Amino acid sequence: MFAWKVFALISVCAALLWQGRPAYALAYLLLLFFFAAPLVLEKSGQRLVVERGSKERFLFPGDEALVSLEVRNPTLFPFAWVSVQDSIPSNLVKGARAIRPVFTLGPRQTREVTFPLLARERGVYRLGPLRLFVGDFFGISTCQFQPAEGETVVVYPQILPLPELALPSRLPFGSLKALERINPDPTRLAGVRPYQAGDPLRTIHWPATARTQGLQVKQFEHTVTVNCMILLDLFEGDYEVSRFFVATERAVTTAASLAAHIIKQGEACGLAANAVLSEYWPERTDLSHDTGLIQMRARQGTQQLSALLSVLAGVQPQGHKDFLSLLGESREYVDGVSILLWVVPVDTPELVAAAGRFVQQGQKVLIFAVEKVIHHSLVAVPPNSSLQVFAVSQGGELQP
Amino acid sequence: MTAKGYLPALAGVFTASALYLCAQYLSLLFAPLTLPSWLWPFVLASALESAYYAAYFLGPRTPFTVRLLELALWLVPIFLLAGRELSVFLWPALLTLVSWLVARGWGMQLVRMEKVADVLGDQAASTVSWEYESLTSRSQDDLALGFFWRRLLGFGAVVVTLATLVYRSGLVEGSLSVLLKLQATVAGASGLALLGGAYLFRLQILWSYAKAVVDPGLTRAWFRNLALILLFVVALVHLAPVNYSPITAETVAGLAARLFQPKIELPQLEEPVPGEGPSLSWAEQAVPEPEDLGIMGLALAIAAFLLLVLFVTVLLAAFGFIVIQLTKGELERLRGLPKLAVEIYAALRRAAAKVLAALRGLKISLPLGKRVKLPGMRPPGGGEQPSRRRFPSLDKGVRALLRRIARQAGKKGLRFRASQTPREFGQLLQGKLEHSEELVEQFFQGYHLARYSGHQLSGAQEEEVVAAGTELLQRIQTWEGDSKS
Repeated sequence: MFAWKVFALISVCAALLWQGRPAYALAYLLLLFFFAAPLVLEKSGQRLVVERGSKERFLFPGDEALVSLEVRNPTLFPFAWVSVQDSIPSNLVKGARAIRPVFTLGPRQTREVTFPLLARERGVYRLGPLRLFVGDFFGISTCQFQPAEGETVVVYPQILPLPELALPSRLPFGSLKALERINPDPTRLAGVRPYQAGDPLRTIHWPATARTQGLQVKQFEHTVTVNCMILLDLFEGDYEVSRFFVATERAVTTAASLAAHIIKQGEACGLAANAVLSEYWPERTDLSHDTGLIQMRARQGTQQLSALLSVLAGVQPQGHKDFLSLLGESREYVDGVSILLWVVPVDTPELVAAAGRFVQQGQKVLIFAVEKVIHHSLVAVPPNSSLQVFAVSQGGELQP
Repeated sequence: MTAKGYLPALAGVFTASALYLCAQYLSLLFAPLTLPSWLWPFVLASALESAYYAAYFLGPRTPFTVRLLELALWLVPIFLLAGRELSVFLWPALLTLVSWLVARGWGMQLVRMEKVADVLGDQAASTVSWEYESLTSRSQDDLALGFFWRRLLGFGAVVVTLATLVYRSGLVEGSLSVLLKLQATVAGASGLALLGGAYLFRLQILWSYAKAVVDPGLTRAWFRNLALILLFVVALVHLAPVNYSPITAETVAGLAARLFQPKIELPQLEEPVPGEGPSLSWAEQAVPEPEDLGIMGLALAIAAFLLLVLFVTVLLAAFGFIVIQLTKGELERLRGLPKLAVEIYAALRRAAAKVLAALRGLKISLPLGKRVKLPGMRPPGGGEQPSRRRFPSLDKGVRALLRRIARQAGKKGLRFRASQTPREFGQLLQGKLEHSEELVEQFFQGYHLARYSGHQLSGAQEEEVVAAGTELLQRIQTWEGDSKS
């Protein structure tokens, strides 16, 4: 390249001395190609605008998605080729490797580029940094730019039906029908009945009234909401090394499945875990990344489910806070809850003893052992017992 | 369709138009080289045929007879059209042959470009950084399309040289000028289009190897944008201002002539009286003979000769540099003037390298113990040295003297440390040398003025300071020394 530049300068000198349009034409051409064009390419490339279609994306394992990027050329300089290389984590790459799209970009032109994604495993991933290469038409120079844009992809943990985790499909948690019929639950319609004097007007079921040509009122179930709290153990020391990855993932899947099951039934569910959040987890004021403690109060609704699944997507095991510490530090969150669901690798005697203390306080404790069950006697207790142990195995096989 | 399909056509058009343009300029300069009007289709067709054949069919095993037959296909009709006269046939045949050969080179280069393995080796597709591979050739300093650039600029240089000669001779006027401009535009545009297309072809090869996902409309958009760029380039070279340089070859030659030509004062002619016929008396007056130039004239002649030699050497060196860049590894094949030019260029380079090495060696050869680093001095090679430019005499005078003083004092055990200022060193000297306080004070005050005041010392001042420094140096030499420092 240097030699060509020197040649260009020699041609300029020759043109200045010799005069004449032919000599000047050659000098202009060489100056244009070896000095001006690379400079303009770099300056124009710096002005390229790359925008991502979204900042965050939420997927379930197995989902496919397209990440779209908009590349805009606000200048009058045409780019011979533009190559976009997005850094996509291998767990999200569809196919053998990430594609590298190449296209041309004319003056003031905008192009949309898409990258296919395949969510393989739960996690919080960061797409980017993006690398943008641009080149000229004559193979003289190439420039590389790195726009700061990034995108977070949250792959939720797998949610399985409870039988697939070898759990009974009607677990005894959630709202319980109240024996004392004092407070009707307006979210649970039990049926309609003819209007009686004194019934509030807002309970009138107008469609049924129209159909029967007589006033009908809604009849609600009388329930008492029982809040659930899932306590997830992700202390590294509690898991066997040989089955660490499988067991921890099963624990997360179990917690997610339980949360989905509870919230889909219209109940409130919270979460406490001795885990760290992924470094790419979007900043939230109530959750910190590296304390080793994640606590979310029990709430109802799909928004809560979404929040729980997002957190469970990003949790990672940690090695300095065990489950008993979690129990101790989550008192504030656990106290008002009626049913505690502990997702642990093994139902150790210490855990069972701790569960006994909660039972004595009137709370119900359900222990889900994802690796091994030690207290088999607690597996076979009646369904409404205050302390039960469940053996979780993915695929529905019962553990020995 | 890949870009390869278009490239032989572009190569053929460029080759034919550039050669025909050169031939036309030559015919203007040398009348016997006039071209017949029917030759242009032959030159173009032979170039197209040769480029396509080389790009798609020619291989190492193609029989030589096939190539001869191919060539005969173009030369025989030319021979017939030339009236079977060898003298008429030779020039058109030579042009057609050159066109055919040059176009063959383009086609063969396209085949070479397809051999990706030669470029990428056994690199895995995922690791191919084609964005940069596309630019570089085997050597990092050469462009990947160096072959195309060299040929294009080689043709350009030849055409420009011929065109300049023709226009300076005033041989081109009117419609011929327009026609030549048009031909030059076609040649230039097709050459640049060939270059752009060749780069696209190289990229397409690399893309297929790296399995890049290429926009299907890229080729079309590429050529469309390339056409826009070519339009811009054509407009630039035709409309941009020219001939604005105040220093031209004529002015330089005139200056040189005036500089080296001896001044001869011609006698004033008497103005003829109106009405009178021409008088022959002035013709009888003897024109004074130029005086004998003597030693001065001889020196001037030698200087002129040396300048001429220098000019020719520089010219040849520049030519040698261009030849090296264009031929790269084929220098041993050069003969005659190009070889001489290359050798001159190489010799100049060697000489420059030796001088630089000697200068570097001079700096390094100063032993660390003896080499005194004066505080406030810039580190070697560390940017400009304003003091050296502002005070050309200072280096030889006061500052050099301080260096000598410091060196001499160092020998005696009183080292001028890098952490010291000249003033501090002077104070140390004052403490060590008996009865030299005033002398030291005078020298260092002068040094400070010369070094830091921002203006030059007057002649008398400098003399005083130098005298003080010299005296101080002598005293240090006679001083017994101080082992404690």
